[in-house]
Amino acid sequence: MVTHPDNTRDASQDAPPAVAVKGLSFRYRALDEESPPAKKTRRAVPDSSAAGAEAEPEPQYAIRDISFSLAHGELLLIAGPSGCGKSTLLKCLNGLIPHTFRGELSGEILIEGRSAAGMSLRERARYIGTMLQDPEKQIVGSTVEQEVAFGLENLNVPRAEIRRRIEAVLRRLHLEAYRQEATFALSGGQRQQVAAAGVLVMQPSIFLFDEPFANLDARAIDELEELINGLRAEGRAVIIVEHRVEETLKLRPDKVLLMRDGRQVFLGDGQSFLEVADPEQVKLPIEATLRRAAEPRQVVEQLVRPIVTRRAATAGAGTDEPVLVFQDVHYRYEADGEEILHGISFKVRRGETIALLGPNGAGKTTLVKQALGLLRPTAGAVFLYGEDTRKLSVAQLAARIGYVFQSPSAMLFAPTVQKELSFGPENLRFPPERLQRAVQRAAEALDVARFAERSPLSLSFGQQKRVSIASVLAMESRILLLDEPTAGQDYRSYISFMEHLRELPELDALLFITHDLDLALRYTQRVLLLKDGHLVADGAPLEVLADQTLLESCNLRPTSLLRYLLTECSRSLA
Amino acid sequence: MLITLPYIKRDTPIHRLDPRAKLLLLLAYGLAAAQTSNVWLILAGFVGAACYYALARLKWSETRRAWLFIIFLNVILVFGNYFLSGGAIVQGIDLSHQHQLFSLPFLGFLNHPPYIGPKPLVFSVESITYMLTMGLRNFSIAFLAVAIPYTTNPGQIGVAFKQLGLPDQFAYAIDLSFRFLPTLARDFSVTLDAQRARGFELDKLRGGIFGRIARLAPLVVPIVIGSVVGAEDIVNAMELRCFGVGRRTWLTELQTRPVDRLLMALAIAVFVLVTALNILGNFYASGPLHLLHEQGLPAFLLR
Repeated sequence: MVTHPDNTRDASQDAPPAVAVKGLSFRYRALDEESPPAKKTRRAVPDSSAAGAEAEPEPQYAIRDISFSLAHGELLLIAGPSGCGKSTLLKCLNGLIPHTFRGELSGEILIEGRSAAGMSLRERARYIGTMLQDPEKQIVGSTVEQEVAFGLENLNVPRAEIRRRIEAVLRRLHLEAYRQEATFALSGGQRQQVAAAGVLVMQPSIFLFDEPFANLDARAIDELEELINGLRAEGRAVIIVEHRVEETLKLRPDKVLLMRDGRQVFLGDGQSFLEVADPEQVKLPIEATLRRAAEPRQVVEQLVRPIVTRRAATAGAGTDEPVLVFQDVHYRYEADGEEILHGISFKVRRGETIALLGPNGAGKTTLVKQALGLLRPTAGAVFLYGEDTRKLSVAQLAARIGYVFQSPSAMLFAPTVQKELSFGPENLRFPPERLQRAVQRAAEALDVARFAERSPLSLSFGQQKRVSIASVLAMESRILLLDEPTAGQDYRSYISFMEHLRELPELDALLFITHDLDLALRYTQRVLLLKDGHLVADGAPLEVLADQTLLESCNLRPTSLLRYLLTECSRSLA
Repeated sequence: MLITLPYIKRDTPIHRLDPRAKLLLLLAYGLAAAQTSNVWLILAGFVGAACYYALARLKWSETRRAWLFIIFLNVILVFGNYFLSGGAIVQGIDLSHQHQLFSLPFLGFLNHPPYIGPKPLVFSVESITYMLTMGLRNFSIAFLAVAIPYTTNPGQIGVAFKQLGLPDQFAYAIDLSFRFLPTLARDFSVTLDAQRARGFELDKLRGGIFGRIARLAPLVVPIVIGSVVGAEDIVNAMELRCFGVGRRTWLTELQTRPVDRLLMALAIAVFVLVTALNILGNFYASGPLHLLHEQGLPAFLLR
């Protein structure tokens, strides 16, 4: 590690910047160690599926020659695709590198003008607070109070002082009412706020956020934005690592750092970032994408292409009979419990692609589970191809309707992808020939045949996601339900993933649960909007999403693409 | 939800007790009860533990699952012991003159090859009484143990261990397990649902016992891998907030009341007394201090 003389400070400013990074490089594991790179988190594996590059070049730097500085009250966005080294950079800043992760670190980091090289975690924690990607993992206290107290307890702060500071932080974040609440029972947005409280109470001058926008609905995003703006107003420096660039740009970052393959490819303000960024790599506001395109109209046509499932396209006319019918479905978990679904009815026809939208906790997953018999309606019925699902077991239903859960790691278990794909058909007792054919077709449809002999756990997140869908598809179900198909994937892999879905053969209908309005706009023909267990809207995406007040009440917020399409629409009408 | 924390918020004398007193009572009583087979002493302990449990005002419907498990376990233990030992393993009790009531043909251990063979299973006043004593002892310990999770705020258990003198790291590990138990339960039910959606049927597992365990892989593997990967994030989150850098404060501080101190003193006294008697009585049924080592059966049963 490089030690530095004190005069390397940026002399142009009178106060030292909150963070200054100069020529920072890092490589996991030291030279003499033989163990593979410590890339344990699945997200960290680069999604190099297109190239299929297996052999890694010898000296692999996770990050290489990164330099930037950030003043108090400024916001830095670090953007780039999965595996570009964003998370590694974050670990270098918060001290997990070199404290927990071994490797070669060179270059220097100055925090409040002091070299970070000799700082212990304890010292760093005075300056830097980190919000991890998943607040579920960040929260270690059973109650809100315990969680907020945790850091101060560890620093051996006297009890009275801890109480005083908890009080202040809870008031600041409007969480007083939740003080004794169990952290497990909180909603996603509240959890993020509580995790933030646990960091804020330590009064760091620099805040790091690792992909904070993943999996939040619009209201939670609003609250998070308010929090981040508040932190800046108080003079704290904020660094956000995020591939959902569009959301973060709304916060008007002072600086954007774009990374690719561990290197810094751009550093500048938000405006000039929009001019250089590749709309294929990161998701930009639609205006920026159009400005860069030669033929805007063509771009929009490219973007908005609802999926029409294959089987329907070839089956032709006379197939108007619904494949899935929800008839006044009510549901409650316990006989005396609160009702979650209050009489939901809709029909799914052949060829339809449907997005199920709604705020967190609206009952979307609960609704979808009724179709598969994982939950059974307390009143009403679900019909699958005209058959009452009450008469069929989950396994029987699974042969007709496939459900892919949000997180592939919840289901992947087999030693090889091939075995993973065979699991479902084996459970359904497919004869060997049919099994082999089904597995092969599924593997080809999702382009995972190349990994057939590899362990699914060794694949990147995007690849795992495809394996999970292939393993459901191998059961030859004709209707596919997908829970948050694009969550956790960077923009490029998300788009290529959706294009895979477009090409799926032999499907009657496709339905996905999502938060992402653009996904609904670009890939579906129909939107179901669920709120508090009621179906509040059902129709073509643009029709449903044109209703501003409805969107607001469902915690959905218009994206730039939606606004653009709506103005285009009204212009063509006029 | 498969697992929910059993704590039931209520205001009873047992709920108000300091968690340390409850833990100490369980430990001291358990160790004391293990040292004697005197039916009267155990019966007294059983009545005392039952009264303690009654004070907690726990309903059968709330604790049914725990009790069914305990009853099942106890029956297995007591009868298992009885059959395996041919009714002859009786702590410190003279079985050379047992008062046999009847005997059943059964298998037992022989002192010559093939070492296992037909042997009568003897039912005597002594052995039946001992079986009863064993049952009562287990149930009395269960009364004290079951009361703890249902009447103690989980947030106080970690700190109770800390204030009983355990190191910070160990005590916080207890807090952490309470924090992540519901998460684990949720992960489990998600994985179960995800695999059921692939036609996996838990109640239709085929094959012998090892085959069945192997067929649980679709459930076990994702959960174990998920926990291991998740644990790394949790460790990072804790280190980033300086866990383990030095002495730590615990926000919650337990304060004993006179009744807690009395209970703790009583528990320790009973344990010390029983242990002392045991040591002074030379661990077997002889001498004036042999109270612990005889069954204390009334004479009319032994006629």
